[in-house]
Amino acid sequence: METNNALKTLRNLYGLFMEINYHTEPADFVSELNDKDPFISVHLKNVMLHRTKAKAMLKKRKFEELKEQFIALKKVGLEKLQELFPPAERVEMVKLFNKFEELTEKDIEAINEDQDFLTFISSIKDKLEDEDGIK
Amino acid sequence: MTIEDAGTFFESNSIKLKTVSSVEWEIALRKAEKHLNYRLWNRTSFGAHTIENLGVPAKEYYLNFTYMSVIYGNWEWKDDFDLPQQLIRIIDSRISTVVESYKKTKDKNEERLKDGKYLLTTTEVAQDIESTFYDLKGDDEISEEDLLKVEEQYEEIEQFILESDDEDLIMFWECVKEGYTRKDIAEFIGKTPKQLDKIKEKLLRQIRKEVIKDNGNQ
Repeated sequence: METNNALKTLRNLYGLFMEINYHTEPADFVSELNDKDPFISVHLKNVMLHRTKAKAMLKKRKFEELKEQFIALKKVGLEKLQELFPPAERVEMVKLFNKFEELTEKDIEAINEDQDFLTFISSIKDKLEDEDGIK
Repeated sequence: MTIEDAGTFFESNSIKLKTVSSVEWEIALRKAEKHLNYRLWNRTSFGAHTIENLGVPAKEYYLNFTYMSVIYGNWEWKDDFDLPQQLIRIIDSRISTVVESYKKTKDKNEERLKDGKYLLTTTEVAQDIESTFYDLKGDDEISEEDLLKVEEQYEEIEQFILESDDEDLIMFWECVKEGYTRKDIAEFIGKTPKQLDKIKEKLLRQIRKEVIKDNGNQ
């Protein structure tokens, strides 16, 4: 057997192994988990560390975006923002508008997890964009 | 990694990653590691995938690159693929990019090679990934020493098959010589993909030590 043919055949073989591996269901790997693999353990630990870091980064990014939106909306002014909503809706949202008026930049962190208020901010922003093309 | 370095898909990937458990991550890493063992066979002692070129062992480099790319959103985790498949696709694309850059650099710009600038490239090479399992374009460099190892390994497998009375294994090996794909072989020898996997494992047990030895980066 010539070297080139041996090389070609072995490349076929590893190519086939790759294809089989690619199509193997993740569930079929469960039985392997009992065999500790130091190489994988190191990388798994690294993955978990970076996931934690990424989560913190994402939270910070969302906070910065919210702060930016909040400052822009404050500049527009409460009166104009209220006019964006029909009177009936405005009554329903009175608590949210009051909250908005009382908020300062320092409070933004606290509302970062307040889903109702985030939705409210987002709806104001959408209405402004629809009306004025403001981004 | 800072917030400014996060990629375009940071948020969308983060949403998907919320539901991925550590067990699912471990399986994804194991599957990607296997892929790298096969992909890097005979390719780490010479050329683009050496420690000299990448700065770290190839397996270390590509595995780290793929999960960091997903976590920080420099690559999109597409809906069509599960996490292990997405990691594998990123690995193969990165390998192609590194090989391409290595060849260009080697031919035209020795200084750039020293600076390792190609390592910062994030260009995706569009291709049908499954076709590359059998032929990674531009990745043909191989040392004389590695060619000798190839011959030795080939002869070892031939001998193992000759001495075997397992007809499935014999047919499997003949199909490999012909360059048949997984689907072709399953049809040809009338086996399901699961059965084919068992035949593969038999052969793999025989050559596993050689695979690990040849990667030189375990």
